[in-house]
Amino acid sequence: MSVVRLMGIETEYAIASESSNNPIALSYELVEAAASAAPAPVRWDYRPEDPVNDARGYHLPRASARPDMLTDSPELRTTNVVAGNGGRIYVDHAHPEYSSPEVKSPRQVIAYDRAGDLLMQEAAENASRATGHRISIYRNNTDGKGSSWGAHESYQMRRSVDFMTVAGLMELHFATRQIYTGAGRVGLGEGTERGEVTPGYQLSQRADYFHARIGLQTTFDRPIVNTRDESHSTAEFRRLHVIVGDANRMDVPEFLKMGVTSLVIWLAENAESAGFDLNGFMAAHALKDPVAALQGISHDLTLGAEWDTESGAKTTAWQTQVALRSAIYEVAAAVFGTDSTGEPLWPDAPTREVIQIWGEVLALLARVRHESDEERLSDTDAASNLEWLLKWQILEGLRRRKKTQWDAPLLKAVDLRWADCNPAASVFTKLRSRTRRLVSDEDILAARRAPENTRAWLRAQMIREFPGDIVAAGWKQIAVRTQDGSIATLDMSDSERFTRERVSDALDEASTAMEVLRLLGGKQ
Amino acid sequence: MVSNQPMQQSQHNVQAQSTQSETAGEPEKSVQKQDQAQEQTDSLDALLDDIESSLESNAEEYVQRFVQKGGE
Repeated sequence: MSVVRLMGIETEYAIASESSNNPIALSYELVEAAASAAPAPVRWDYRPEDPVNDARGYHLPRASARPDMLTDSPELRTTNVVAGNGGRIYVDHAHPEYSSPEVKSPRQVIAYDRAGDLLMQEAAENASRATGHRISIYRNNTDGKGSSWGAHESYQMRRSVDFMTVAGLMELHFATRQIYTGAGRVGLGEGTERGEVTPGYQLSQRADYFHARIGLQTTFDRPIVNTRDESHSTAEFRRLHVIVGDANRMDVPEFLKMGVTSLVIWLAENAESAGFDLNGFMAAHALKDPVAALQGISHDLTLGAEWDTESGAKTTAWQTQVALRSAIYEVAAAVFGTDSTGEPLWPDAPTREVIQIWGEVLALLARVRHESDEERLSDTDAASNLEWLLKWQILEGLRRRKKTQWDAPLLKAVDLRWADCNPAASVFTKLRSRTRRLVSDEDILAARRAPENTRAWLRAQMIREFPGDIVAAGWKQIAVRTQDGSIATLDMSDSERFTRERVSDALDEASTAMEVLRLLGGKQ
Repeated sequence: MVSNQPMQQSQHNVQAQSTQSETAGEPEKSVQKQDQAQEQTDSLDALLDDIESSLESNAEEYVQRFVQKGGE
């Protein structure tokens, strides 16, 4: 693997209506509207899901799990839609959520995540018409009043790598990547008994809502490293489930969020065979208090704050990112060899692109760090790559013009409207042309169909071609009705076996879903 | 020594760009830079006008009404 691996993103949206203060009811209305636009009403198959399996090697007894941790419990999620692109639209607690189909590269993630925004906004508009009240959805992560919701990343990785090694690297990466992944937020603190919101601006939407280093939970005492171990795959792999990220509207932050994290996983997978001393690297760079650093880095607009490492040294977020990049260069040089300039022979275009843009953005950050506020206000180049900076330019511009402070409702309103998915109402839509785009509108439209390079293709095609035959679908299985009325299940654990290339003959030949299963089963 | 090279490369790459703003010593460049900054400020001003006029007349009520429940 490289940057290229099975990956995906889940986005929870905020939901609001002038005539309702019940986000759960609104979420059901939206998902019902999405269901009526879907190719067929297909039940989500929970059978193989296991949200209380812990990557550290044990299993939480279901009786001791809080009810909201049992995300496979059907009564908590009665409404589910398999989207036309193989993704999933459903109600998750008090939010409508879109899970992208499984894809293989950061660019694909962005295209499918943006396609999700379109599908969800269409569902919101259809639900508005059906119910008579206007429903708005927002792509953000907090209301500043104590509640936070997620934008979760998933990465397939080799199970043979020790999980605690991965966890240590990820803790370091997640605390420091915010300098380029942050979506920006007006206000500091959670807005609960844990802390009033105080006036100010910070890099991240999510940082203030994290209080633990590692854990299974996602809704309380949130950990930087989430240990949920549902691989949705074969025994060879685990799925790294990441809950600490912001929902981005800009392409570059999201591209680097996915791409660099995939590269750091690659580092963990390959360090040993390359003879790289990962334990030594961690001993030198691990942060003494990662939770404090996560929040402190988010609050530090200077980008220059120093944090204690376990080894007794000091580091900035930028320096840690440069160190991670250097480690990846060193391992890549050993694994792939180098050209005459010493540049590793990166194995594929997506990896080269992530490395390049990561370097460009770190260089921009080094410049931004030394700029005055006046210089930052006119640094359109940096702002086209950094979401927290572009948002700050608008907010700081308005703040100066209105001669207000950071607690002004106008600024909070801009922060919310930034995230509004309705293009007519969104502040971000007005700024989109000033951002560096990595996927085109055509790419996003194309992502309304399933990706051809993963099992999502088969899932979507089966539902499109044999809607009456499909009983249920999940990430790694499809259950179909046989002629005698019984149910047969196709195991799709190995995503590579169910790409368009590998299933198109069977789909062309078969006239029922059961025949597809028979034909594909025959090849297994 | 392969191991040090990438570090130097990435450091070099980053530092080369980070000092750009500090090297604008020549008057000509400095004027050009001011003009560019002025243009960017003007276009930002137009954008701020647009955003301001597009927002709710009552931002306070809009912000107060935005209450969610936790997710995930």
